Amino acid sequence: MIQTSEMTPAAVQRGAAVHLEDVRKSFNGHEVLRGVHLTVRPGEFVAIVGRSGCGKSTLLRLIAGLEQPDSGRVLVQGPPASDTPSGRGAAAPGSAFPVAQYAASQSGVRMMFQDARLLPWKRVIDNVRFAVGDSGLVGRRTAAEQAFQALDEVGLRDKAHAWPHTLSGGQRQRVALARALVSRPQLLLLDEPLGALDALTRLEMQRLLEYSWLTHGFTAVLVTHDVAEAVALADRIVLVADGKVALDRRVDSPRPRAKDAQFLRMEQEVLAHILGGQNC
Amino acid sequence: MRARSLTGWMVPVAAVLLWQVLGDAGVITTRVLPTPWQVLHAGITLAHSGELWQDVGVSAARAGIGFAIGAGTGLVLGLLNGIVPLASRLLDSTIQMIRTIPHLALVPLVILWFGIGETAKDFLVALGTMFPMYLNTYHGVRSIDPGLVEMARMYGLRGFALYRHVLLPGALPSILVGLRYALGVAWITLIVAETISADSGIGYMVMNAREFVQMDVVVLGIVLYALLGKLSDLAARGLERWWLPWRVTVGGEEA
Ligand SMILES: Nc1ncnc2c1ncn2[C@@H]1O[C@H](COP(=O)(O)OP(=O)(O)OP(=O)(O)O)[C@@H](O)[C@H]1O
Ligand SMILES: [Mg+2]
Repeated sequence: MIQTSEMTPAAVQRGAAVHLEDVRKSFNGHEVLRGVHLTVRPGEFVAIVGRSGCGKSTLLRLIAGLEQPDSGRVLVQGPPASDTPSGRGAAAPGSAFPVAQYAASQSGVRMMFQDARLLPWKRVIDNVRFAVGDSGLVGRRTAAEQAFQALDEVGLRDKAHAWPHTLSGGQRQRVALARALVSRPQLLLLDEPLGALDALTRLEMQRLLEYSWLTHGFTAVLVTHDVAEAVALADRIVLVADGKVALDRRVDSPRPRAKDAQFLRMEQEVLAHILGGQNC
Repeated sequence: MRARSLTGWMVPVAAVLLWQVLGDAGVITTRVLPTPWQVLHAGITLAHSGELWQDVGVSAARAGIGFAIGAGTGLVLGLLNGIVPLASRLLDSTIQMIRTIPHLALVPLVILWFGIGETAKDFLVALGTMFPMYLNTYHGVRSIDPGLVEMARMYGLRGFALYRHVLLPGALPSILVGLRYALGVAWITLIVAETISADSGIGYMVMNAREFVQMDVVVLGIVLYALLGKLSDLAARGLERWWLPWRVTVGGEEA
């Protein structure tokens, strides 16, 4: 974390902080989350791992404000007012308040899913551009420019006028990333966005994700099945098991991370924790 | 593709030719069925006198006005019920109930209510086109991927923006299916209504010709209805191509 903030001073200011206090959530009488405590600092990259069905997606949706907790508190705290980007996404400067309100105020919280969720009836460029929004400050022209720039960033400018259904899965996720980036997120929630990709595309996407995170300085919370992915990208790895945070492990090695002995040791350790636990 | 659409025309053209030949040979008496040439001739004569355009114009106007009112109402109701849950709970079951009444069964009642004038026809066409439009619009909105709506909300789309960027385009394929179907219903309804009672329009022209046993004009009327129906279907498909360029067309050519 200290390393990262030295590498990108913008990170600390652009990112939102997340606080979860004793969060509980049940579905149909089945308690999925049983008192989760978690704090994510501004600009931090946290990976959430755990067995399938243990509530990782639920946790992420709670942070996004897409679900409400049965009890406990979910707080998302925007960056200090002086450094918020202009226009939209500038919600919640410096003050913490419940996610429901935060989300309602067009916050800088964005989420990427396993499916890219592109609008099939918009060309790639328009899928990205609508995320810029057209508030009075941002004219149409600059919106288009920003969208093209974001596509550049993910290496898909030449696909700007393609229809989403003509893209590959990896390309679709890159467009989804461009869409998230162009809206200047303060907090990017990622629910296995690389889960459906082949190994090589996955590695490329991981690098792109890390690069975007470093340059844009948002806070990232990534749910993943792939422990190696967590070790490669995260400042912290959080294991969700039994409806609680069962492990909160810091990863300190410098970026970009090579798959050296230390990397593999860390991977083994986290994996052992996952396998050692109960079936939720 | 060009060759394939030509192939599709081979059988109908052959049938018309055969019909002409059999008519000329006297196998089919012209009292039973006039030859294509005679029908065409009747059409040209009526077109010259201006009667044809008058009647076609009247019928097209009825179809157009009735369709605009009925399909418009169906579209608005479908969107409303699809988007606003309260409206759906309030209205949907009522609409479903009314839908079970075949609108053509109302012809006698409608004649009693409105006489044989324009209102009766417009009303029947409107009633007939409203339901297919409503059902398809409603279904279209309801079957939009909730993940897309969730995503759009997360990006701050609300109210009219959400409707314009997500709900309407998402429902559009289904709406256009409804539109095509409703156009078909509009012509069928009109044919029935005009045949039963009318003092102008293609149906009137046909019934009038029947009185005087002008078989060529009777057949001409039928052909005109078919042509107008085909024309509106082509227009609807044109709209599909224009409004849904993003749709994946499987196998290249549609039916
Ligand atoms: N909307 C819902 N309604 C009912 N049950 C739900 C709902 N969402 C999640 N659950 C249940 O909550 C539990 C946790 O689901 P969740 O999707 O959070 O798991 P996950 O850790 O993300 O799993 P995976 O790794 O397979 O994606 C599951 O048992 C699931 O059936
Ligand atoms: Mg999940």
